[in-house]
Amino acid sequence: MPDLLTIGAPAPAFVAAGSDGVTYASTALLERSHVALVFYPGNNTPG
Amino acid sequence: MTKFEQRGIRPFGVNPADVAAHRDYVAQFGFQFPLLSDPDRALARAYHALADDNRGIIRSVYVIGRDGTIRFARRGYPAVDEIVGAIAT
Repeated sequence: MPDLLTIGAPAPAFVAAGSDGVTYASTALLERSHVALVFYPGNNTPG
Repeated sequence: MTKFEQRGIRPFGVNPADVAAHRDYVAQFGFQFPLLSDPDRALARAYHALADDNRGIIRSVYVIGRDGTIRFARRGYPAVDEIVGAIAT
Protein backbone atom coordinates (compact mmCIF):
# COMPACT_ATOMS: atom_id res chain seq x y z
CA MET A 1 0.00 0.00 0.00
CA PRO A 2 1.45 3.40 -0.94
CA ASP A 3 2.02 6.02 1.72
CA LEU A 4 -0.45 8.88 2.01
CA LEU A 5 0.57 12.21 0.54
CA THR A 6 2.42 14.39 3.03
CA ILE A 7 0.74 17.23 4.91
CA GLY A 8 1.96 20.48 3.42
CA ALA A 9 2.91 18.95 0.08
CA PRO A 10 1.40 20.36 -3.12
CA ALA A 11 -1.84 18.59 -3.96
CA PRO A 12 -1.95 17.02 -7.43
CA ALA A 13 -4.12 19.06 -9.75
CA PHE A 14 -7.07 17.31 -11.36
CA VAL A 15 -9.94 17.67 -13.78
CA ALA A 16 -12.81 15.22 -13.36
CA ALA A 17 -16.41 14.77 -14.44
CA GLY A 18 -18.93 15.02 -11.66
CA SER A 19 -22.16 13.15 -11.09
CA ASP A 20 -24.00 16.46 -11.47
CA GLY A 21 -22.84 16.92 -15.06
CA VAL A 22 -20.20 19.51 -14.13
CA THR A 23 -16.53 19.07 -14.96
CA TYR A 24 -14.48 20.09 -11.94
CA ALA A 25 -10.95 21.46 -12.13
CA SER A 26 -9.05 21.69 -8.89
CA THR A 27 -7.44 25.00 -9.86
CA ALA A 28 -10.82 26.63 -10.29
CA LEU A 29 -12.29 25.04 -7.18
CA LEU A 30 -9.43 26.19 -4.97
CA GLU A 31 -9.93 29.79 -6.02
CA ARG A 32 -13.15 29.76 -4.04
CA SER A 33 -12.94 27.05 -1.39
CA HIS A 34 -10.93 24.30 0.20
CA VAL A 35 -11.62 20.83 -1.22
CA ALA A 36 -12.17 17.46 0.45
CA LEU A 37 -11.68 14.29 -1.59
CA VAL A 38 -13.00 10.98 -0.31
CA PHE A 39 -11.67 8.04 -2.30
CA TYR A 40 -13.85 4.96 -1.79
CA PRO A 41 -13.73 1.45 -3.23
CA GLY A 42 -17.03 1.34 -5.05
CA ASN A 43 -20.65 2.35 -5.27
CA ASN A 44 -22.92 -0.02 -3.40
CA THR A 45 -20.04 -1.54 -1.43
CA PRO A 46 -19.38 -1.33 2.31
CA GLY A 47 -16.32 0.86 1.64
CA MET B 1 -25.29 24.43 6.71
CA THR B 2 -23.05 21.41 6.95
CA LYS B 3 -19.81 21.38 8.89
CA PHE B 4 -17.95 21.30 5.57
CA GLU B 5 -19.76 24.39 4.35
CA GLN B 6 -19.08 26.17 7.64
CA ARG B 7 -15.34 25.74 7.04
CA GLY B 8 -15.52 26.61 3.35
CA ILE B 9 -14.73 23.07 2.26
CA ARG B 10 -16.34 21.51 -0.82
CA PRO B 11 -16.50 17.72 -0.46
CA PHE B 12 -16.37 15.24 -3.32
CA GLY B 13 -16.47 11.47 -3.46
CA VAL B 14 -14.06 9.88 -5.96
CA ASN B 15 -14.36 6.47 -7.55
CA PRO B 16 -13.71 4.82 -10.95
CA ALA B 17 -17.43 4.38 -11.81
CA ASP B 18 -18.76 6.40 -14.73
CA VAL B 19 -20.81 9.55 -14.40
CA ALA B 20 -24.10 7.78 -15.05
CA ALA B 21 -23.44 5.25 -12.32
CA HIS B 22 -22.44 8.03 -9.96
CA ARG B 23 -25.58 9.99 -10.81
CA ASP B 24 -27.73 6.98 -9.98
CA TYR B 25 -25.83 6.36 -6.76
CA VAL B 26 -26.28 9.98 -5.65
CA ALA B 27 -29.99 9.78 -6.43
CA GLN B 28 -30.32 6.51 -4.55
CA PHE B 29 -28.74 7.79 -1.35
CA GLY B 30 -29.39 11.52 -1.57
CA PHE B 31 -25.79 12.63 -1.20
CA GLN B 32 -25.45 16.40 -0.91
CA PHE B 33 -22.13 16.48 -2.74
CA PRO B 34 -20.97 15.36 -6.19
CA LEU B 35 -19.12 12.16 -6.96
CA LEU B 36 -16.18 12.48 -9.34
CA SER B 37 -15.61 9.85 -12.00
CA ASP B 38 -12.03 8.53 -12.15
CA PRO B 39 -12.31 5.72 -14.73
CA ASP B 40 -8.60 5.42 -15.49
CA ARG B 41 -7.74 5.71 -11.79
CA ALA B 42 -5.38 8.60 -12.51
CA LEU B 43 -6.72 10.62 -9.62
CA ALA B 44 -6.49 7.66 -7.26
CA ARG B 45 -2.94 7.04 -8.40
CA ALA B 46 -1.94 10.69 -7.96
CA TYR B 47 -3.38 10.71 -4.42
CA HIS B 48 -1.86 7.34 -3.48
CA ALA B 49 -5.29 5.79 -3.10
CA LEU B 50 -4.72 3.06 -5.68
CA ALA B 51 -4.11 -0.44 -4.33
CA ASP B 52 -1.05 -2.45 -5.30
CA ASP B 53 -3.12 -4.41 -7.84
CA ASN B 54 -3.61 -1.12 -9.77
CA ARG B 55 -7.37 -1.61 -9.64
CA GLY B 56 -8.65 -1.46 -6.08
CA ILE B 57 -9.23 1.84 -4.34
CA ILE B 58 -7.99 2.34 -0.78
CA ARG B 59 -10.48 4.40 1.20
CA SER B 60 -8.65 7.67 1.79
CA VAL B 61 -9.69 11.17 2.78
CA TYR B 62 -7.81 14.33 1.87
CA VAL B 63 -8.40 18.02 2.48
CA ILE B 64 -6.71 20.41 0.10
CA GLY B 65 -6.30 23.99 1.26
CA ARG B 66 -7.00 26.95 -1.00
CA ASP B 67 -3.23 27.37 -1.17
CA GLY B 68 -3.10 24.07 -3.05
CA THR B 69 -1.41 22.08 -0.31
CA ILE B 70 -2.46 18.91 1.49
CA ARG B 71 -3.98 19.84 4.89
CA PHE B 72 -5.37 16.46 5.93
CA ALA B 73 -4.67 12.89 4.85
CA ARG B 74 -6.09 9.77 6.44
CA ARG B 75 -7.02 6.22 5.50
CA GLY B 76 -10.38 4.78 6.49
CA TYR B 77 -13.27 6.65 8.10
CA PRO B 78 -12.08 9.73 9.96
CA ALA B 79 -14.73 11.66 11.85
CA VAL B 80 -16.16 14.75 10.16
CA ASP B 81 -14.93 16.96 13.00
CA GLU B 82 -11.43 15.63 12.48
CA ILE B 83 -11.59 16.29 8.73
CA VAL B 84 -12.95 19.83 8.92
CA GLY B 85 -10.57 20.57 11.81
CA ALA B 86 -7.79 20.65 9.25
CA ILE B 87 -9.05 24.08 8.21
CA ALA B 88 -8.89 26.76 10.90
CA THR B 89 -11.97 28.86 11.51
